[in-house]
Amino acid sequence: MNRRDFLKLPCAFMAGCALGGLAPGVALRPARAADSDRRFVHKAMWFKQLKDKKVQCQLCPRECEIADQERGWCGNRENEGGVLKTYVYGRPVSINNDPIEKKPFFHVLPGTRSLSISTAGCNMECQWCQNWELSQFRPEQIPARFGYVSPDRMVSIASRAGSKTIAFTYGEPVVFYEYMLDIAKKSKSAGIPGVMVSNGYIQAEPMTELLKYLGAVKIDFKAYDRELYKKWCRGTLDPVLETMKLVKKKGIWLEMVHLTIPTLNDDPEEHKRLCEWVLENLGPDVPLHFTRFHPTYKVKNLPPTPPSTLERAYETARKAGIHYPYVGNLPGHEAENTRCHKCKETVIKRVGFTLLENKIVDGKCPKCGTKIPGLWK
Amino acid sequence: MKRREFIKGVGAGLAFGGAALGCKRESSQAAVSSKGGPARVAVFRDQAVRKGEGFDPKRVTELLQKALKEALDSTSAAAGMRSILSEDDVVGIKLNCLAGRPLSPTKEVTGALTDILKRAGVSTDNIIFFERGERDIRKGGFDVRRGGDGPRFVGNDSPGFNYEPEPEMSGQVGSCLSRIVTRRIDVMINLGVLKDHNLAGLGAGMKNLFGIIHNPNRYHEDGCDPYVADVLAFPVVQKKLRLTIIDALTAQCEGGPGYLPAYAFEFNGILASVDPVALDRVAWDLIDKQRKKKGLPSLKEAGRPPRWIETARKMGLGEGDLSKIKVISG
Repeated sequence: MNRRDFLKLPCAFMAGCALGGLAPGVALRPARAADSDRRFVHKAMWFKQLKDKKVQCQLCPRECEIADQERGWCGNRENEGGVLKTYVYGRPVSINNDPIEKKPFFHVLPGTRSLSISTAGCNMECQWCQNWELSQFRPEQIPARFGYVSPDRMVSIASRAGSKTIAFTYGEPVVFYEYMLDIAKKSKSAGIPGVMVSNGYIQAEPMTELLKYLGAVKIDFKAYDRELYKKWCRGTLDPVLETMKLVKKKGIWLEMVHLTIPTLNDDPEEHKRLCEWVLENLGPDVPLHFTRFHPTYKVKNLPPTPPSTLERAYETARKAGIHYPYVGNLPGHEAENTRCHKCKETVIKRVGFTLLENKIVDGKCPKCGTKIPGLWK
Repeated sequence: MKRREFIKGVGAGLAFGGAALGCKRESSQAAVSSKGGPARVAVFRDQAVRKGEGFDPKRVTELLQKALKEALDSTSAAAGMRSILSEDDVVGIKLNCLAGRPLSPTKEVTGALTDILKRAGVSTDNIIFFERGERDIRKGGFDVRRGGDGPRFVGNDSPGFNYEPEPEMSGQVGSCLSRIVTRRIDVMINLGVLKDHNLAGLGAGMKNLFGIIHNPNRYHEDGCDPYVADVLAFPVVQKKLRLTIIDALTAQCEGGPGYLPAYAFEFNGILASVDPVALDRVAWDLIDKQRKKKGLPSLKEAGRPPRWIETARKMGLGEGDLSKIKVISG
């Protein structure tokens, strides 16, 4: 490193911090826009009109019937005189150039950066939501610190930041569907596929349309337990299962995360039933990440997940026949690595979100030549 | 009970039952009549209150004075006010402007209320009319006033306010509360309108309190029951809410909460009570009477009776039995 390079380092670091973790040189100045800015208001795609200016949203399984001037459950779709509008189009509240391992995607372009964006709102309310400060608020309650960011501009930012994907994540991308779709269309054309990190709580028709433009989907799966979905997440399980089957059917890369929470969804029998369902409906190649819970939002009385619980879940999945189980939020754990399911050779080594080594060659295990499923180029 | 079930139960209890376990309610001035008798609800009307396209400010003031005098069981509106607040209090008045100008509290009522508070000794600089957001203030036809002399008109999103950083539990509701309510004001007056609500059944007094939580959209399921009652049960609401007033000069019996002219009607009245549950029970009755006149089914027949009124009664938050409420009309 010469003196010039050395001096560049702190500048790059400061620019990165100031721009929410983006690469230096990417001009995305925080520019708070007025919350009344109509540029953020965009006609919703999936709704039908009812009598007396009511509408029924048809984006997610809730199918909210929304009276004039009222919002849907998600908090960011409002009925304006019989027309449903989204209030978050072009209104990201978080933009970061994250390692793709943070999503986590372990079988998608390892070691690359993913421009990760979110707006406000969610169509579930998990009582332990790790991103509740984004997902559980209405748009006007979170300053529009980036101003209006058009889909074209978002793709341009990703390109200049060196991102290999654009991740729709943090909050719940289903509720910024129109914005996500328009970005995904443009980013696909630009060779930067969109990847969706979602609860999977969406109707089949909008999901089918979206999948035409996505590179991969990761589902935050809460539990193979209808009661838990209802009581603790205020959603329902079956539509999520259907979404995963649809993603698989359309041939889009799928990974699953199971945030394992002490006493709520850490029962080995439930894990076993989940694995059986995955094997029967999605096949053995869908990576299944059991990740560690940390107390937050409305569940602060439970302890962080003991590593032994995650290890037990990992073993349950492995024994059931899942080819690629992982543990997560336990940096340095052996089960963060990818091992060839056939010869058990470690083909990718990771610590936390950092890629240490990737030995995969042309999508295959370097030792036995078995194809390792995923998107590697 | 297994260890796992025990821990789960404790978890559920802490997450959902905060109000029941640890948040004992402070005694509510709102839940009882000011002199300990039956719940009193004042319903005063004046068919001559309209003047041209608007309202006669003098007659509106007289109407409000009569309603408050009776609701507060006092010799005058100002004297009644002095029984529920002190001169040094900062008074927050929650508006309901969602439906826009035709079906929001009127400037005549907010003006008359300001005058009465002034006569009760409250500095106009200590009067804060507030809504969910500044956007709602504007929708209601008011100018946003964040400072200067006289009453403020602000939103929870106005600079310096916002919501508490952590959620608080009350029954099944878990929300970040408006900092206007938790930190800025000493006394709250709820100033709503009389209207139908397509999900809650009724959008008069208690339902308007959804505007002090950050996530009201989460609590419209099951006819908003028990959520409306749970919001009323927040300790800070029980401590600070002293009076509910309903601007029913214009009301609406169907199609709410937005404004639907076909179902709006000129009630030309004002409702007031220190008991928010009793007031809503009377408001429900008034909406049903108008629905009958229009040939509409009752709210119960329409499948949306405001069940949360009975829930609130059972929780001890006020009187929900119509036969036990003294309605003073004029």
